[in-house]
Amino acid sequence: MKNDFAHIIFKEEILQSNAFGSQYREYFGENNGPTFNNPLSEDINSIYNAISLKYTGLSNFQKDVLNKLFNTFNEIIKRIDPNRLKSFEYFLNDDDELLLYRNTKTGLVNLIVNPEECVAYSYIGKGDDVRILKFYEIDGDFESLAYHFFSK
Amino acid sequence: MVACTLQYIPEILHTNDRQPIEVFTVGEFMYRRCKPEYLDNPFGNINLTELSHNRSGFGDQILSDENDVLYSIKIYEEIEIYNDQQISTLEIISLNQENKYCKIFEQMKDGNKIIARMDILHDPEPCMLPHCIFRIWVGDDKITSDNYKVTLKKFNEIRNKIREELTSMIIKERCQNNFPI
Repeated sequence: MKNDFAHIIFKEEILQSNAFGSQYREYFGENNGPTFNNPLSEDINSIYNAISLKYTGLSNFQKDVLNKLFNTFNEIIKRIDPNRLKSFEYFLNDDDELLLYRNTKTGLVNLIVNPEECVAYSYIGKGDDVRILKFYEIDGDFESLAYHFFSK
Repeated sequence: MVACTLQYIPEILHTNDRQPIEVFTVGEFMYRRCKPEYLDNPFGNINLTELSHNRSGFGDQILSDENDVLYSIKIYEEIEIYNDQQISTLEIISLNQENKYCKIFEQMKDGNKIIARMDILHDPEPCMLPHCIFRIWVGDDKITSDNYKVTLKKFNEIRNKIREELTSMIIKERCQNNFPI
């Protein structure tokens, strides 16, 4: 994850994005809150730090996945409409799996990080029969996973 | 069946001599209480050992109202109603030819195909006739809290598939606790 200096550089990068720079400038100007409701890189990093501090018993595999996942979140911010980045919830379940999930108007999106083996992505649509369940290894395509997570 | 001794449980919910109804109906509801903070994702936070639900019954065989699942049926508990919990409702959307709920899940692990099965069993309690459980088998092992760690917990794909199946059955996200007090 990025340190503070890297944050500043990163912020400048997304502010200068051709496609969404103006929208990011609007966000930075209007919303300086510390929560992920402000979908900016600082908030993504703060969520990462919050998870790491709250769940100190995460396995090395989970830490690696989390790191890779959140770095990917920071990367895709440059390329997607920031309005697509919505808040998500997280918890560690009784099976020691770390769940990141978004409950949206269209459905429930889960990213489930197992302690030692794999990451599962699931989407269950509301009001339709759409169900998606995919499994990713640590060397899987996390960029597509991140897009899936935020696209619903 | 032992008689229900909890005075606050309505007589209609007492099992007495009534037998389990082994068949289910598509469209029948299954009610489960859960903490409000988990209502968005009620099956994300629990292990999958014999999940208790109440069945609604169907047609002219209505067995319970959704709020009945908020009753405590444990004699040693001091509360009568879980007023701090809410209700997650599932709908049975498919059954086998015998009108029973039975789903198969598979996973390859170390070159072996692992097969699990999830059934819904009507399992009346003395004070709760509509009580049911989702029972899971991995191979010939019935999953219990005692063997969970050495059976189902080892098979991540199957667990995720089961959770996805359960979550896909949820029909009401926020059913308020409107129990008449």
